[in-house]
Amino acid sequence: MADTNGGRYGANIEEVAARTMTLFYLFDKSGSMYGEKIGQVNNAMKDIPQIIKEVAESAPNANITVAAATFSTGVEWITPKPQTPDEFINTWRDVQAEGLTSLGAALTSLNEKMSRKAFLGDNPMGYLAPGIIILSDGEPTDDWEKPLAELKKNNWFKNAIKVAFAVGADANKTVLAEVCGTPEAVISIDDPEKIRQYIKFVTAAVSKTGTTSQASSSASPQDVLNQQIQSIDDDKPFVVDIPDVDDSQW
Amino acid sequence: MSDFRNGEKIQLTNGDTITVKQKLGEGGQGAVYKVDYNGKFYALKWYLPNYLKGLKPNYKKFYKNLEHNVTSGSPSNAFLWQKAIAITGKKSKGFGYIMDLRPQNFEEFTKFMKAKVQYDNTKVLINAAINVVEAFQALHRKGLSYQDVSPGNFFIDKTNGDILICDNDNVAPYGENLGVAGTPGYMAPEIILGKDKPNTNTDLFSLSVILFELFFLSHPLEGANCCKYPCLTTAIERELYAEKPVFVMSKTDHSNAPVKGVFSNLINLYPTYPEYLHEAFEKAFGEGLKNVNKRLTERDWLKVLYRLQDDSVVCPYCKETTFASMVKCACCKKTYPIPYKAVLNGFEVVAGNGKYLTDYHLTHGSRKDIKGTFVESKKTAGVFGLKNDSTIVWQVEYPGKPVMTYENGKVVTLIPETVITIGNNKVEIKK
Amino acid sequence: MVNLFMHKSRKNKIGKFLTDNISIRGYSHIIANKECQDCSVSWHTDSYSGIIVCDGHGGEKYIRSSKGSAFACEIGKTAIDEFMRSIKRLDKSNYKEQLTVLERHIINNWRKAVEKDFNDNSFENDERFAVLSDSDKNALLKNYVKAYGSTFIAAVLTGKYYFVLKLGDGNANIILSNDTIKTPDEHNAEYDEDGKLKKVLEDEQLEFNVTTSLCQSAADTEFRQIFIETDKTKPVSAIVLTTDGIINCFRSVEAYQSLIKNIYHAYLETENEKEIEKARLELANGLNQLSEKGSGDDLSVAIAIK
Repeated sequence: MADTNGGRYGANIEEVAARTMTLFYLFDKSGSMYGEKIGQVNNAMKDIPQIIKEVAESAPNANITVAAATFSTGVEWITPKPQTPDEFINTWRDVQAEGLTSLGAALTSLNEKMSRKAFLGDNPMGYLAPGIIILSDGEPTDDWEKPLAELKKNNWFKNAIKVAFAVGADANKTVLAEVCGTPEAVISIDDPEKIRQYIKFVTAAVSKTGTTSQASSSASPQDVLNQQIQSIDDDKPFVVDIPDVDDSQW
Repeated sequence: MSDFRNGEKIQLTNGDTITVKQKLGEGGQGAVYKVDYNGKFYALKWYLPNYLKGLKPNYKKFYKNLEHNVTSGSPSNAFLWQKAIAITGKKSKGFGYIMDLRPQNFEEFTKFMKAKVQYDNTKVLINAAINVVEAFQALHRKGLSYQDVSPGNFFIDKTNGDILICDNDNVAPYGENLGVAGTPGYMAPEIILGKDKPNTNTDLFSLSVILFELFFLSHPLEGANCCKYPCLTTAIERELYAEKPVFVMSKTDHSNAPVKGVFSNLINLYPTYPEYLHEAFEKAFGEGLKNVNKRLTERDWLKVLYRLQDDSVVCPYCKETTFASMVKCACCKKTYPIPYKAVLNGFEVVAGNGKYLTDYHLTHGSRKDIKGTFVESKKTAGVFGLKNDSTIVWQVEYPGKPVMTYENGKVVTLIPETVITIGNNKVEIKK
Repeated sequence: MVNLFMHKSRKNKIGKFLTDNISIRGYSHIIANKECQDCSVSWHTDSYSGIIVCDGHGGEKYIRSSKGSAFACEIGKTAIDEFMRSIKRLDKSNYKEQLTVLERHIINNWRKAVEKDFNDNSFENDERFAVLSDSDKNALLKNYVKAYGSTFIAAVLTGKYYFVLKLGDGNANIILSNDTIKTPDEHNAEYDEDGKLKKVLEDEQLEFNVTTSLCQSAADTEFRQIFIETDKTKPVSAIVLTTDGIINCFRSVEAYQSLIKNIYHAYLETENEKEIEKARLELANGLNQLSEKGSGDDLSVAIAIK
């Protein structure tokens, strides 16, 4: 145990403080999520605080906070500001499913919150790269491309570790892959039973990756995370038969 | 000597005057200023006194050469050439010259080598290589040669491969010696060893080095041998580039092979090009090193580069440029359906968007003279046709069918074993 | 009005330079019974001073990174010393090629050292390898160099110039004659067309927890260098290098720089070997507390004062 007399360096030791990693959750609560799907989400979110606390214990100098929002016809932030796991336990109320799927509005709102003036404080040195976990089961019903283009300019977003869940057959994996920047970060969930399990797994993985100083070769924290997710091989071969002479095809 | 002040007026030897606007930068040889010459802006390069002193006793020769360059004019558009000479008066304290300002779209070649800038795609890179060879060709046609090829003088437009060669004050009629020190690594071994003066053959060596660096972002003679030393002294340079040069990718001598972790670009990029490009470099830096007659000429290089262009295909999976002759995609390694090719006169042109049949293929004429354009079917992706863009009517024989005629504007569907007769040329479509 | 700023100069003027270095084991490593993965070295001759700090990677699969950082320091010192003795002249016209050759030489020799160590000590009998996950084992079997991965920062300070070679995270601090601290990029003070400071040494991708490394196959392209001629307009008193565990303890650059200044003044006041040793012990003590309260990481400091 080190000698507690700081001596010459006493004042510097006083200045030491923990850095914060914020986990952003965006949940689709549109009408189609009704029943088992939204039930699984609600269930998972009750277990999240404990998982985060366990990860935080092994991260020596990092705090982990949670910010959660739902989107359907509009966007609603459940957390007024990023909260510690204990605060979050008190804030979370089960979510009811109804409405459309305004992914665009959610992305715009996320862009606004991921800034020094809103959720990420005024000192970039105090923050580690955030984690973003999105869950949706259907097609966006609003314009999401422009909001995403704007969001991609946000430095926090650029460096954030991103994961998306595409729940059910109607979920648009391509859109979610665009948001995450790579299809490798999109997890397809066909069986609603798996929603709870996956949310918990990903929460642990994202927060662990973000708070451990991972010195990897060319692998960014996003790559490290992608490796931990199962990737779906999308290998549709191009077949071109010997064509007919068809002057009208030009 | 201190810098020129803004607003200062300097004379040109042709009698006109220029006004200094601002200093743009400074290099080892001189300072560059933006000047106003009759209402238009140009760049003025003014030599540092120390540099001129270092040129003794060839100082006057150097000046005369500048005059000569100004009068004879630029070999081609690829050169940023000297337009007029500037002096400070009858008993001038040194001199300089004016040239066009370098347009914004060009980036330094050295930035490409450090991977700080990238070509938009491989087609652009091949264009740039062709432009470099054609520039050397233009230079030699004028009876000129380089005293000092340096990558710092090359600028490239990353969107289309246009090039601009600057600092041409060291260009002189071959056989001349301006006393300008060359850059080790780019000077032919025989010059470093004092056995010869700058001439067309020594330029061919420099050209092959620049081409290698364009493709592989690394020097062809710098491999394990140069990692042995913490720094390069003149003695080490002599050994590396003149006395004991070894091609880094030599199939027979692996002593100078690239070291992993040190020459990553070369290691990654070399295998993404076809064997015939490798063979060209093997020859240039194998026999061509010491035997000047074995060096690849500009025509030899153009043949290889045109072949790369004709061979190029865009991979439908990763969208990168690969080469049909390599079968699997050079970048993502996937097997993809290779488009059919037009075979004629020893050439093979693979179909694709942006690919053409030109007079070069038909009569060894210009590649800019388009005789046929490959077009993609609007109905089925991956199916290509060849549009007649010439003034002759094509005779087309599809397999098992009677001959049909296709005039200008019509598109021939590409089916293997089809034969298209264009004048005296028999074009076969093959898989 | 009289200008009252004081030009501090070293009390101990025996020899042209004063150099020192220290690496301490991080608090999180003490708890986990892991060795220190940082390494540092400092030395000087009559004509130059050299300092190097290296940070071996901390993740599970980097089972030999403390060897990796040790090799890096040792090889870096030998290479730099050979370089400084062989080179006739280093200035704005030739530093880029020469420093690039030096970087390559360092990577080359580091890889050779790693290769030899691996050949003498395969993974088969390595108990640390045995306890790794299957995917980590596979990654190392594919490329054993990774096990030794480390960052590398070196600085050389002479009477006329200084240069910094940097591969990976960590910080270089330039202390000017008027007691202010700048990063090398700030000291270089070159701006691009938009008026933004040119990042010559710093790498934007190093923010947010990613680092580049000696074990990468693209190490040569990731290596950064900066060369600055010091004169009346750019006078320099000292350079301090730290591994990233130190800046990660603080929330603001100012708080970090205040520590650097403290370290600099501590050494400035020493008058003999004994006092230098005392300063080092005091620093070690301070760093231990910093690690415990803050990042938990191994911490290194190396300093060279004119």
